[in-house]
Amino acid sequence: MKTSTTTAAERSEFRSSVRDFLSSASPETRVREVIAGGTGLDEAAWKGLSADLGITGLLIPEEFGGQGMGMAEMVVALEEAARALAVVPLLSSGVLAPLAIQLAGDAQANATYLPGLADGSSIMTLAGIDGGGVTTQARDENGWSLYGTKTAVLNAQIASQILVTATTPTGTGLFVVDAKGLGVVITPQDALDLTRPTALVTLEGAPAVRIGGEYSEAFGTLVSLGRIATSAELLGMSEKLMEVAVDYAKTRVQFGKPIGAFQAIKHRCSEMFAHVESMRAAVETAALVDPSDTVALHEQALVVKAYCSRFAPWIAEATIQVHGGIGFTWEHCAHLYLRRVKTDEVLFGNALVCRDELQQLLGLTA
Amino acid sequence: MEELEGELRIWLNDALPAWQAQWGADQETWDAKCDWQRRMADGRWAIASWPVEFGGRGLGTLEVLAIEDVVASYGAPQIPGMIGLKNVAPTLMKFGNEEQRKHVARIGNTDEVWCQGFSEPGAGSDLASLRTRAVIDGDEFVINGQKVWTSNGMHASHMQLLARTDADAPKHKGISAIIVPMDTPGVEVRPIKQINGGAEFAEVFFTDARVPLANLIGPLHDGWGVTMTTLGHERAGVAVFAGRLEARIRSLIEEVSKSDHAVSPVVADELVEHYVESRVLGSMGRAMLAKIAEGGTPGSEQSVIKMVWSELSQRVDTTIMELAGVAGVTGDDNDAKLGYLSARSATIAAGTSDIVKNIIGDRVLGLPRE
Ligand SMILES: Cc1cc2nc3c(=O)[nH]c(=O)nc-3n(C[C@H](O)[C@H](O)[C@H](O)COP(=O)(O)OP(=O)(O)OC[C@H]3O[C@@H](n4cnc5c(N)ncnc54)[C@H](O)[C@@H]3O)c2cc1C
Repeated sequence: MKTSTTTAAERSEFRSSVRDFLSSASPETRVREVIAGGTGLDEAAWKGLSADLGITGLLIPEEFGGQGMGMAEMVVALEEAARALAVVPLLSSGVLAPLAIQLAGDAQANATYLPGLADGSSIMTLAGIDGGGVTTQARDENGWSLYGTKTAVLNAQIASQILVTATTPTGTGLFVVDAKGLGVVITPQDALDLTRPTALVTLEGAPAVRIGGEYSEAFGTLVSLGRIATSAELLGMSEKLMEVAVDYAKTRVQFGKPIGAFQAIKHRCSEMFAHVESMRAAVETAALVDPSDTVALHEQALVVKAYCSRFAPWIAEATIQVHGGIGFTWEHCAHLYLRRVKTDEVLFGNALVCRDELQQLLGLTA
Repeated sequence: MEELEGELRIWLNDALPAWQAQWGADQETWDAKCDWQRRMADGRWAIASWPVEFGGRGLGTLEVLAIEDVVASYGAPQIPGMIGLKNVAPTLMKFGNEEQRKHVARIGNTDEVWCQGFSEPGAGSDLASLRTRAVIDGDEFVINGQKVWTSNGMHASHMQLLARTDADAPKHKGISAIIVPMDTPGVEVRPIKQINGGAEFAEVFFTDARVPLANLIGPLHDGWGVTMTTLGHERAGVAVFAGRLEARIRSLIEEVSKSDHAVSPVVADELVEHYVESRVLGSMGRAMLAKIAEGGTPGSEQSVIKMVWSELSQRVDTTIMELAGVAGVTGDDNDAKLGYLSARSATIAAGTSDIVKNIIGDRVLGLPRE
């Protein structure tokens, strides 16, 4: 994966085109329609983002039908998709799956899976988090079989294949299973985030294909990139929430004045702005780190995720507070964001987890 | 840039030891610091931002910030005449007449030390409500009133005064900027002791103090415009503050992690919180510098960085005080004690945090005024 091949001006142009597309393809009314439909996929928006805008191919080399770009470009798309609450598997199938596969360094797997991911025709997801405190095992039984449960698997219901990390007799491996295949049971979860369904995936001797070899180091890099990707989503949603709060503060009148004239509200909005600007600087910095510099990537990803995981929820909560009663209604968009924010907050580690790792990295604790 | 830094390092390698040798135990004195500024000005380092016709190097913001960083990394003393160099001299270069511009060189070599008389007992955050009057009488201004929190007031030879010259005009429109020599009869300066024990600021009283009309800087009644234009000069500096705070926290953590005492997870987490925020602040500072390098003009970044920097730096000094424990209150750890006390001014001087939040709300977010 490349670091960055584009200029800031090109990325800003790219942002406009994604935002334009999503504002017509995925307005809030459409998001609510898709949520109510229960499929967990806005097919039109997905086709537009993948086949038409090529966003699913950003992180995939040109030889496999992608655009050969890097995280600097992908974070822009993630920010915008989250800002629009688009019900699409961008994080799972557009970011985590292609990265997970490429980090395994397996030429055959690249050729098999990347083209379908690049044009959005196949949807894959990553099952990285073990459920119930038991590590998922891979056994070599004339071909690999997987045993265990994975939780919080994003978009598992619509995925054709699931990438699974599992313990092998010698270490860690990355495997792929057929989502509809034998020994794979997908149980939808009553997820907090309504825009991105999750499932419990139970593997009962599911036949699997191994991708690449020992995967522990690659997984570390994948986690770092996942931190940057979820931070970008948090940034996109925070910026939108701040705008919603500021607009409301300008129009809602109490005591004969717009509430934004009251400093308790005004200062809350100014602090939101300062946090959004801080997040932006942090996300852009992290997205520009050369991913092969794993030391720098690790540190920068911890910093950005620790920051965004802490302050994006604060912004979402403050937005509700600024709105008063209306902010507590199902009708209002604030909770849709809060739900997705709280989910991105924990994916790849919340602020506490990241600070804990930083303590060790900085030599403060063993 | 690298060539410039190399030249500076060569210069510092000679100049700093020479200065140290001359002043020995007296390095902390005012005279010693003035002597250092003179050397820095002779080398055209302290005045690097000034145009060549004023003896400077005509360098841009980025080069000047790089110079300051190198100088700071050598542990060189603070420049005492910073207000003159950074605020007054640019104002005089921009708005001053031929005669007034003669002050510029003397500001550089510390023949003149300048202060800024803006704040008053009744006019702080609401600076434009200031009431010190300057009444025209023949070819003189007659000044009456009081200034307060005047940094360098005790050492100053000159003041850039903001005074009301038109009592009937709207409050921003009736103010003028006037040069006042501090030895003018009717000007009295009294030190004000600060919470950290220092007396870096003073109060200044004016009783029928007379200065020539020729001391007016820029147009009559437009002192507000004259002053605000040049306040911008110091604002880019916040980007450097951001970087320095980042470095400071890094070295604090290094120091703590190397100490023999085990670090409790609670303390470690407080340090890591600061670390995270300082790394993010550092990124913002670098983004702002990059914008300047590309020829852009920073806008809201300055306010945001000032706000985040001042609050974070204050929290860091609070943590250092906590780490010091009893030694911080007994004075055994004097650095912690003074650092903690001094840090209180970060959220007051040059615009309080509340005012910065008002500015972001009003001017950046377009929220209705109070
Ligand atoms: C170390 C130091 C050096 C200084 N050097 C100089 C100098 O050289 N020359 C000079 O002229 N001045 C100088 N000052 C003064 C400085 O600019 C003022 O202290 C500052 O602008 C605040 O004004 P004030 O002290 O009158 O406080 P006030 O304006 O009275 O503020 C008191 C409190 O009220 C809050 N407040 C005021 N108005 C509002 C509002 N509209 N909304 C919300 N909260 C509000 C403030 O945030 C603060 O918390 C210096 C100050 C310090 C601490």
